[in-house]
Amino acid sequence: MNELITLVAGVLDVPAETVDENTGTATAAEWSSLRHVQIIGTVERAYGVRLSPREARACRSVGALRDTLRTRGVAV
Amino acid sequence: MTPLAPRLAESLNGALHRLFAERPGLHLLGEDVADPYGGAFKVTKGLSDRHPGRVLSTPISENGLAGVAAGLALAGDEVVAEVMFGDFAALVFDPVLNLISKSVTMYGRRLPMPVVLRCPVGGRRGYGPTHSQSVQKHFIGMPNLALYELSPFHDPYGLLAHALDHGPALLFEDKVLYTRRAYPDGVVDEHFRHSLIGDASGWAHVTPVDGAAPDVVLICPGGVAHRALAAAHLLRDQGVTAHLLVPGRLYPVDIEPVLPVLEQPALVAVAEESTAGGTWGSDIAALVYERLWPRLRAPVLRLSSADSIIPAARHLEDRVLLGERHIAEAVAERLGTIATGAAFVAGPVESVYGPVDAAPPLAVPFVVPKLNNNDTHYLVTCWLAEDGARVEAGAPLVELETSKAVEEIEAPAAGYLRISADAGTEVEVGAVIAELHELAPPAHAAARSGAGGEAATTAGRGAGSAAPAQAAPPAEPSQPAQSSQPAPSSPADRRTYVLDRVQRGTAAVVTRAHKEVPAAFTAVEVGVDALLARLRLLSEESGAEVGVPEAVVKAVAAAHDRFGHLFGSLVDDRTVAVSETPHVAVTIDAGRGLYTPVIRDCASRSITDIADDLMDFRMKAWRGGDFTTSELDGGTITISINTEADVVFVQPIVMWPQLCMLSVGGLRRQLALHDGVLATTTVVVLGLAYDHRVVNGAEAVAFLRAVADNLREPDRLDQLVA
Repeated sequence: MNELITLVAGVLDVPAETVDENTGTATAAEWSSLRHVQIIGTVERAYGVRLSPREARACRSVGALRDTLRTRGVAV
Repeated sequence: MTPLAPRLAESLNGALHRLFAERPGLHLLGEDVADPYGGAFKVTKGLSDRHPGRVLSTPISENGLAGVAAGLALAGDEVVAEVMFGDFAALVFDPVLNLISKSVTMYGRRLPMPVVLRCPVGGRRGYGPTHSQSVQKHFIGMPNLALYELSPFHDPYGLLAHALDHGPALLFEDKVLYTRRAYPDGVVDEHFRHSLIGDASGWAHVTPVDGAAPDVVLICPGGVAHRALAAAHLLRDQGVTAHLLVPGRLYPVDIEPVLPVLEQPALVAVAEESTAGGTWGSDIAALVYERLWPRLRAPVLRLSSADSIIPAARHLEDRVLLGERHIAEAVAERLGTIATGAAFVAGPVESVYGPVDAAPPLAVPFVVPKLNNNDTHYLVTCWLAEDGARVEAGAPLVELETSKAVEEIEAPAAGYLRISADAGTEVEVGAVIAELHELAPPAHAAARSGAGGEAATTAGRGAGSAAPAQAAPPAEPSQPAQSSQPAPSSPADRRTYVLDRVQRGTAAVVTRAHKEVPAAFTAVEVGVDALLARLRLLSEESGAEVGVPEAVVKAVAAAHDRFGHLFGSLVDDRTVAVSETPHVAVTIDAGRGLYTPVIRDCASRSITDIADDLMDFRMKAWRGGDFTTSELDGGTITISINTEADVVFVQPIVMWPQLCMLSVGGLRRQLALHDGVLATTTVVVLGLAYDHRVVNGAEAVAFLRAVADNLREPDRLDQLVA
């Protein structure tokens, strides 16, 4: 459960306890377009998946990212 | 108690029984395949009793049975044919090449050819030179012909069904697998697990149970999987993490799904049992180079069996065929974890590998490549990076003089250079003349190249002195000088590095731009509150992020109708070529080099389409420049995107031969008067650099205003986000 949050927090360079499922483009100033790419790339590498551009754009929050990974068969 | 998984021969047999039950038109041909014998490896046992008339034992004529299989398929039936030993697939080569594969598309319409030829292959059974070969490579690349291979990770039913539905096909079955059990439910053993990437014929991905990232990824067909897995265990004992990738279908190869795995490790290795030369592994290596070149840290390691016939005697067979210790040793050696000079010897593997603590840092050897057919030795004329310096993969490394020319050789991987052959020495093809180390060299070794008044060249250094005499703590080359060090202007305080390929490309473009383009610059400020509100709404509605850069791309493209001449290029001093379609290049730097991929035909596409392209490009830039040439060519204008916070405005250059580059700065909140009331608003600055030979200031401002209006006027916003 917390592994994904830890990954995202690491990219955003913020404490993991400040990140939750709602953390995303609309709520976190740190989640810039560059950070978004880094988050997607880091997650792809960590879980061995490759997201489509549309999927990557849809991952606008930790919760959305988790949902997308689950639809791809990743247990997060 | 958990029941044992079936042996693979039993699984294959079960798969055939199921297929026969499901497909009434399915036939099986082969030598001695009928009961009571049930095939040489008992894979067809019970089929002829249950399905009389559909399982036919044939004369000993592989050519003939393949021809009959083709005829049955052309008549609308499905066929599985067994070539008792894959070595005799040579006898079915003609009907496969000229009848079975060609019939699919040589009659003016596509004909299904559901033929699967099962070919038991491989050695380690003591069957000798003509019953032990791995012949897969001879069938690669035939149009319409697919190649599959049995593995302990793939369901044989899935493979056979896929092969029948996507055939004609050959299914290679390593004979040693018949008596081994499948790995069910993703479990391999206490250290490894596996999962399937793709469909039933996809890639099995074997990983450590803790999910550790790989130091090496071993790509291997199913017959080598057990040896690769054993090698992974040996490497694990040495502290090296290995992943395995095992394909269900060998050809056509779909490597895309496993690229995220292959871009992770320090080393990619391909292991196969056939002899070297024209192999599946070579194809895989070429694909890896094509798709991951910027990310590779070392050459792909290709492992095959010895260039020899396969002896019948088992102890001699072991010396010829690729084994787990060959794999483990080659990987460890390439990774630099094996003691220098240790040769492969039969016997306990512990006698080959040293303890991890004693191993040197990871290093990639730099081997003198063969540059021509005339010479066996070349002269090292000069090194293009200093000993101890950090070099990037692909950077110029050394000049070698052959009998005909001086050739510049690039670094095969990134790392800290440790030279072992000085300039002026003659070196043999295949000799290791340098290493690229992952870690910085020890302090005294790094200092040798620059400190103490020595010239910053390797010419005066004695050969063989590169290796440090004793261990010393690593020092980063960029470590600032200590107070006792010379003044900043001294050589000891200076370091050099070679630009990587991407940056050298950027350097060439901007240098040419500054030399050839008399550019001028102007900027406008745009209020984007309405735009941001629309983009937020669009993002919510579409469930996917759409940002300011996409909107600017669309806004620029929308201005093409009125300002088409700004989307052109200067052919000569007085001729401008104008593009009828706006193809907008965008600058993307995800921290791994600057790229300018092109979003095509932006005017006619939706902003969400453009957003998809932009995201695709961003991810490719993040992955290290995974672009095709066509994605980087053909831009008619470029947008420099610098929307990070605090960026006020950006003065771009003009990407010759284009005429303009527009820039987008960061979003800034500011106070402004609205109808006499002070209120906060969000603005962004658009800049335009333009070739003043073609574009004048008034046009530039008018163009910027048009783009700005597209981003702020309500009616134009409607069109923008439509």
